[in-house]
Amino acid sequence: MNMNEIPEALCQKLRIKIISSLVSSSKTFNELLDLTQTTKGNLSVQLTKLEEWQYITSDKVIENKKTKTTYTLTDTGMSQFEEYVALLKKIIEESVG
Amino acid sequence: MNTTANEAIENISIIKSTMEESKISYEGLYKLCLVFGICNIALTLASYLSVMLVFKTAVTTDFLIFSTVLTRILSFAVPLTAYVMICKKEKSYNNRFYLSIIDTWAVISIVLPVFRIIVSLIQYYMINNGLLPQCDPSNIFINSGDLSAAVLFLMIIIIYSNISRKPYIKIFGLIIMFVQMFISMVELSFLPGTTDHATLIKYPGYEIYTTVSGIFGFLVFGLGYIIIGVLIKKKVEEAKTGKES
Repeated sequence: MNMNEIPEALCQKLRIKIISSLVSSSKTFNELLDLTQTTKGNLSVQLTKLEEWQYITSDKVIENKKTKTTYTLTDTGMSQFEEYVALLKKIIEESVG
Repeated sequence: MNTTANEAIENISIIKSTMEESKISYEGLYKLCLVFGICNIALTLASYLSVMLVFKTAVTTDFLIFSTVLTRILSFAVPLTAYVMICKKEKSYNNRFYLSIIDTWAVISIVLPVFRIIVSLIQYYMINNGLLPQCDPSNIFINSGDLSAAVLFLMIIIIYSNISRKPYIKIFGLIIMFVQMFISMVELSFLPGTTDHATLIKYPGYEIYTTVSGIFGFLVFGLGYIIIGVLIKKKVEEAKTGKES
């Protein structure tokens, strides 16, 4: 991955936050809402986009008559994220000299 | 340093802080500990105060009974209220092992005292009706081995219940714990000098005696663990193959 190849999924701060949150483990919608400190609508839109790009998967479960959605980072999402972090590291190293 | 490098630093900083925050906070557990600690201190002080009042003033025994009953009720009512309030928020979180820790704490601190009261009442009724010999009514679960076995088994059931997302399984765990307490109470009632009453089976030709709790322990804490182990393995395999419900 180079500067011109950064995928759209990683071009927005909220989406970066969402993906970073999912690196350690799967999270529910409420957990992501807590971690990203954004609005429900905005989070929902970004999650749908990430799911469309196959960066994440969602799993809906009914618990106590309420739907609980859990989001998990896919292998594609993880490898893209790793490449992106490597690119950021490279940029910083190059700028420092 | 150019703009790109600054952006890179900013993005790395976002990633780092988000990943740090995404670790479990254990906030619910902290709140439960805080409430439980304060509750225990207050109840201890209240019990000392009531004893002092009995000795130093002309307080009737009715007051002592009232304060004892109130203390017993508050000792599980306060943690129960805290658990319900905290769980409203924590239940929306996904870490099922973390939820299991909170549930196990609730069972030990809330359900166990309630079960003790219920079993004591049954014991009181049975003694009054001649179904049990006169004995010390406080002797429920005097054996710490029985207690730890029951609590540990219940903990595994709670973990399995949360992993499989089947809350009703916890009820089986609670039933097992109650039955274990009841059997212990009945057996301990016969213990002082009349152990033979508690003996169920004498194997022919062998001087081996088995009690009801022995058989129960064999079935539940032996076979029960194996069954739970197999179910957990099945659940893990389902999750690996993507068949998890």
